[in-house]
This record gives sequence, structure tokens and C-alpha cells, in this order.
Amino acid sequence: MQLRILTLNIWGVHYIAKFINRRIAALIEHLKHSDTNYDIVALQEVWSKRDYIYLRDQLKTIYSHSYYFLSGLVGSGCCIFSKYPIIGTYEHRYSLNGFPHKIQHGDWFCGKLIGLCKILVNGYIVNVYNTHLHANYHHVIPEDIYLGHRICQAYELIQFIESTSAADTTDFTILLGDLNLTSGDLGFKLIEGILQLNDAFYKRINKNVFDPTVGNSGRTCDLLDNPYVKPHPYQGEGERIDYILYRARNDNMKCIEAYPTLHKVPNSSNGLHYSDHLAVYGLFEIDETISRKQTKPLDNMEIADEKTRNNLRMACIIVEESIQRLQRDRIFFGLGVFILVFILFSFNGNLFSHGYLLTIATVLKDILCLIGISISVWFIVLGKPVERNSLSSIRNAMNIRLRVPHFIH
Amino acid sequence: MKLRVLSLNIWGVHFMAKLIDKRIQALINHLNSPEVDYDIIGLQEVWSKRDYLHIQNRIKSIYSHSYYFLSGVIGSGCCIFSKHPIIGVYEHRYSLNGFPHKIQHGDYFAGKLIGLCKILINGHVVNVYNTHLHANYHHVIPKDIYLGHRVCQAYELIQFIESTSAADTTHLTILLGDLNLRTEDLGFQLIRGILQLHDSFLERINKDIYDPTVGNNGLTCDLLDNPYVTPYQLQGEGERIDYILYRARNDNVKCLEAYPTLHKVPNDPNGLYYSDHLAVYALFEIDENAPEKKVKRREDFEIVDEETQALLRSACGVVEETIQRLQRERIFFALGIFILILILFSLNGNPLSNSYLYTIFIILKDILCIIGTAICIWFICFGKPVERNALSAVQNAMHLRLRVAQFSY
Repeated sequence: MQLRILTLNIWGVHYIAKFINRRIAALIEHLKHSDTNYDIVALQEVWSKRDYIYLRDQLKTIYSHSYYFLSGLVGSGCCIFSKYPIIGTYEHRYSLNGFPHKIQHGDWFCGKLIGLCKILVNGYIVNVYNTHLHANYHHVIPEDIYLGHRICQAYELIQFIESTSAADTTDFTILLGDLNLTSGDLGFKLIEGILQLNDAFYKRINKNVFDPTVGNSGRTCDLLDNPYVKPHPYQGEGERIDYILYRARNDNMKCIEAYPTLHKVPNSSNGLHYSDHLAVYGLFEIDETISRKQTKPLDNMEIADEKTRNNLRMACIIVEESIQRLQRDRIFFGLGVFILVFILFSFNGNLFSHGYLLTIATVLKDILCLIGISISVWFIVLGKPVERNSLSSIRNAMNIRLRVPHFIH
Repeated sequence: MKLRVLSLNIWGVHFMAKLIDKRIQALINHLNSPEVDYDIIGLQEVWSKRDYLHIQNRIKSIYSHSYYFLSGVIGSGCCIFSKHPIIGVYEHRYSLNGFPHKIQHGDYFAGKLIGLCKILINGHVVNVYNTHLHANYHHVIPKDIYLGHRVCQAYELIQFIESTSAADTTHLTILLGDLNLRTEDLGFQLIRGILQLHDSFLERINKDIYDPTVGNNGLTCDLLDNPYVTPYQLQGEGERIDYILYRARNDNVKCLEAYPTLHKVPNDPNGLYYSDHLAVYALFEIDENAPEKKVKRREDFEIVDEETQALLRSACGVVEETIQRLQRERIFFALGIFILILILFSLNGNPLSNSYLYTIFIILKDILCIIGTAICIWFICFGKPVERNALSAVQNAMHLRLRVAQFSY
């Protein structure tokens, strides 16, 4: 039995991304084409519900089953289309997802999550996990201020997949999506090390099969010839941050082909590309003759691997640093409240004898100060303590796995 | 093999609850006394981290393993103590948990969750789930405005336990805690119907064994003779809302005894009681000679039960009503902004020639209006949309389970 899988970050950010409607139309045309024959399609950054509903309606003759993961303010952007019935769904919203004041990054307002669809394919239960982790804005800012959050998201992803892909309810586990992690990143090494997932691009059998318009480097983002990517100093030749990872309960799943694809839209006179990311395609072969492995009960959830334990210790340190920095942030916001209150009650003059323009300016100044004060107060009282508890939680969970009884409360 | 389990909501709400330190001391004395021999203890409403650390410190010679679930601003209040090693932890924070403006109820600021500790007892893996659902303030307000949130919490609880208690990693599943649901409530019936859990109080073998200071009616809260309960109209004789529910993979667990206990503190001249809730105690017998049951593969997640399907449809109806009410609330908040801004810019007199007292009054009024406006804006732009997405997500999951293809976005 063969299984064809596709994942794509469609860059559906209205008002910022270019040509969304045309790119979605191109994607729909590709999916409906008689040559393509994907079984499961996972998309990220489908931020608009209307875009999702449009995709669903256009594709429902081929992909009659789909699910859209609602979450947070803007939504998770994640959805799954399938030829086969979706018999169950579940999801886990990440506790930490950036900061609300980084409006230009916007991640905080999305309800990023890892979504699971259990899909029944010819009697096999396939757990398909679709996720989109916090972006790394290293091409804009030198320091990765979201590293702590991304590590925690990776760890929550690990806990979620581990807890929901038990052997008696899952034959195949497939994790796909935009992980915003390169294979050298700590978060990715933890995911591979603890969950024992296989990287489709690395484990593919036919290494010579690839999309000729893209090349065989495996990179999926920030490609030099993508017109939607602004060149930046750290770009190199791009990065591989979109993945298809898999694991089979009975070790009867092989990856035959895997490569990035969907770069330039064919026959487009305007040089349209599908997205600022490439899609990742995987073709899997499942050996149906292999018998079910006997499962032994898990007496102990150890990580046998010393290397993974070291990675986990490093992750604990990163989380610890995030907590330290958080305490400093609170002092910063406290100072901010003080300054803003000061500005609010000064420079108001005599409100009734101002000129028209000065009154408007004063009112605007006061409104901005008020907004700033509310936000700062919110951070100190709610935002930062909640962030701290989430970070401590993850760190305590990591310590349990390392069997270190030192918890922070 | 015998297993003794205790669950107690300790009412550790500082500044509002009475005699917390003395009651915690009484609990510690009880847990340290030689006749008492619990294996697993689940506590709720341990809001203060210091209280948790104090308890942990005092009982660690007997209960050397424990975990405290951090969450939200105040914390989840949930913790687990165990004689046997905790080999894994996981948790799920409820997406919906009341409203921030209901400060007098306070649930919103608690990061309520369902916490899981996997505990290894003589080679058996026991999943112990501790949770505390949103309170039903029906004794204060006639209408249950949190019903939608509580039904969603019950459903997220169901999804969590279902996904994390698979047969190959769990021998025994125990759900304990303050569910704030009576047995006839929709949420409780869903929990029992979908998860197929047994109620230890109803299925106990020795029905004549109970705590003589309490009686044999199984009620755990709002008892007439509890001095910390303010009497109210709909009280009746109390309610049974704290539970120990269980399910064994190999059907080899019997509940021998189960009853509420820990009412009045013995030998106390001041009439001290342990809490405003009673504890629930259960004694289980595990037949270690029972054969390993063959695990049938669950090819499809149907609810065979027609009754449970009907319950699920009612739950969808409750969630739908909550979504409708939410839309009305947004209009209400918009009106609030209008009124507050009006008040903000009126009644200010002449700021330079007002009397001292009047100036103070104006400043206070303006600050309150500003806070009120900020809160209303937050609700309209953030709070309510996020709540709506969370409600729709749970409703879509319920629809999927019912195989109804109509999802709401």
C-alpha cells in the first residue's frame, strides 16, 4: 500500500502577503490535477476561515474529509485534507507563543497548536499531526528572543505525540508542518531523539528523485530565487524547516521518495510562486504483510540515549534563562508604568484654553499613555506570571524525564 | 494487591478561607499518623506554592514522590503525593475557564487543568488524573452562567484521558478530584459514558463501611453541619461532586470500600474541620493473577451507546447557546465603552479650580473609567473571540465524534 503526503505553509497572511487569492487558486488547481494523487494534505498559515472554507469547498470532490483547527484570536492556521475518513481529532495549544507587544511578529495572537487527525486508511489508523511552531526572526533581529518559547513548544509537541500515539490506537505516526527548526537546532534534536521519528528527506530510498525546478538540497524556505523572500545577511541558500517525520508501530513503513516541491507555478505569465515556503512531498510504502508486533507495557519511561539526555539538560538551561530574563522584563515594565503615568499627567496644560490642534494632540497622547499603562500593568500582573508558570511547568516535566527531583515552583 | 486512594479539596484560598494553616496542619497530622496508609493522594485548591512546599516537606518521609501542577496566574491548585515513583507527568489546561471580570469568582485567574501522573506500583502503570473543574455558583446566582464552560471542560477532560490512557501504557486509570458536577449533570454523564469509568462510591462492594462521623449518603460538599459553608436556599443536604473514578485495562480491579471522610478534626477543642469539602477515600483490590486481556484494535471511534450520543447532542446544544450569548455580550461591552467614555469626559468640572476633594474624586472616576474601557476593549477584540474559537473547537470535536459533518467557524 502506498501513501502520498504533502505539507505546505501557504503564507495566507492577508494584507501582508502577496497574491494570496491567486496562489490559493494555483494550489487548488494543482491538487485537483489528475496527475497529483495525494492521500493527505496538510497546510499551515491558512489564517482566514474564509480561505479554508473556500479550499474545502473547491477540493471536496477529491478530499471529502477535512478539519480546521480553531484557536486563539487569529486561529492556528493549521488544517488537514484527506481522502480517507477522519475518525478522531485532538489538539494541544502551546502555552507559550511569543509576546503580545511584538505585534509586528504577530505570533502571540495566533493560537498555535499541534493538531491531530486520526485517519483510517484501509483498516490502518494513521495519526497525522500538523503543527507550526513559533517563527525564528533571526533574519530581522540578531538575537533569538523566542528560543525559550520554541524549546517549550517542541517539548509540549513531544509530550503530546508521545501521549496520543500509543500502540493500540495507532499504526502510523506522521508529524508534518513548519517546525521553524533546522535539523541542527536543539528543539529538533529533542523531537527526533525522544520520539524516535524518522526524517523522510533523510531516510528516503530514491535519493535521485526530486523536483527539477527546485534542486536536491532539501531546503524549504528562504530560497534565493523565491520572489517573496526579502534577501537578508543570514540567508545562505535557504533553510530546511518544513518536514515530514514518521514512525510505524510495526516498522513496516518505508519512505520511497521525499523532496521539496511546488516552487514556481507552471504556465504562469507573472512568475507566480505557490508561497514563500516550498511544500514537502513524501511517498511511503507500507508493507501489509508484516505481522503486528507484540507490545510490552512501559515499566519505565526512560530515555536510553545519553545524547538525548544531554540535549534535554541544555534545554532546561535555556528555559531557566528565559525565566531569569522574564524577571528582568517585569522590572522593565514597572519602570514603564511609572514613566507613562508621569507623562500622562504632565503636558496637559489648561485643557479649556488650548487651540484645536493642541487639544487633539493632548487627547492622543493621553490615550496612548493609557493604552501603554494598561498593557504594562497586564504584563506585570497577568502576562509575565502566566508565562513564568508555563516555563516552570515545562522545566519540571523535563526534570521528571531526567529523573532530577529538583522542581521550581 | 491493595491500593488506597484519597482525594481532597483543601480550600486553600488565602484571605478568604478560614484557618488555613491550622487545617493544613491537621491534614498533615492525619497523613503522618501510623493507621493511615494511603498510596496516592490528590489535593485540589492548594493555591499557594508555599502551602504545597510546606505539605510536601512535612510528609516526604512517607510520600517521597509528589508533583505540583503550575499554571496560569495563581496556579491550578492541583497536586499529587505518592508512595510510589512518578515516572511521567502530563497536563492539559482547559481552554475555557470563566471570565476575568468575575473577580469574585476568581476561576479565570486559576490555570485550571487536568494533570496526569503516571505512577509505577509493583510493575503496574497507574494513570492518576487530578482535576478541578469550574465551580457552579448556583448557590449565589440562580442561573448557571458557566455551564457552557464546564461542559467544554468535561469534554476536554474526556479527550485528554482518552488520548493518554491507552492500553499498552496504562494498567489502571484513576480520575479523582472536584468535578463540580453531580452524577445527573450532563458533563458527568458524558465523562462516564464515553470513558466508561466506574464510580467507586456506587460500585463499592462493602456498602456498609463508611465514616461514622459523616454518614453513608456519599455527599462531599455543602453539608449542613460544616461550619465553613454559608447556608443558602438551594442547599438541600449537600452534594456529591468529588469523585474517585476508575477503569482497569484487564478488568482486574475491584473497589472494596469508598466513602467520604475527613470531616471534623478529632481531638480539636475549637471545632476545626479539615475543609469545606469532604475527602473521598477508596480502597481497591487488584487481582495480579488476572490474565492480560487481548487488546482489540479500535478501528473506529464510535460511541455505540445511543444514550451517550443523545447526551453529546445536548452538550452541542449547550455550547451553541453559549456561543450565541457570547455574541450578545460583545454588543453589551461595546455599549459599555460608549457609556464609559461619556462618563470619562464629563463631570470633570474645571480641573484647575476644583476643590481638593473633588479633584481626588475626578481622578478616581477617570482611572476607573479608563480601566473599564480597557477591559471592554480587551473583551471585544481578544477575550470574546478567543472564547468563541475555543467553544467552536470543542463543538467541532463533538460533531466529529457524532459523525455530523457540520462544523462551525
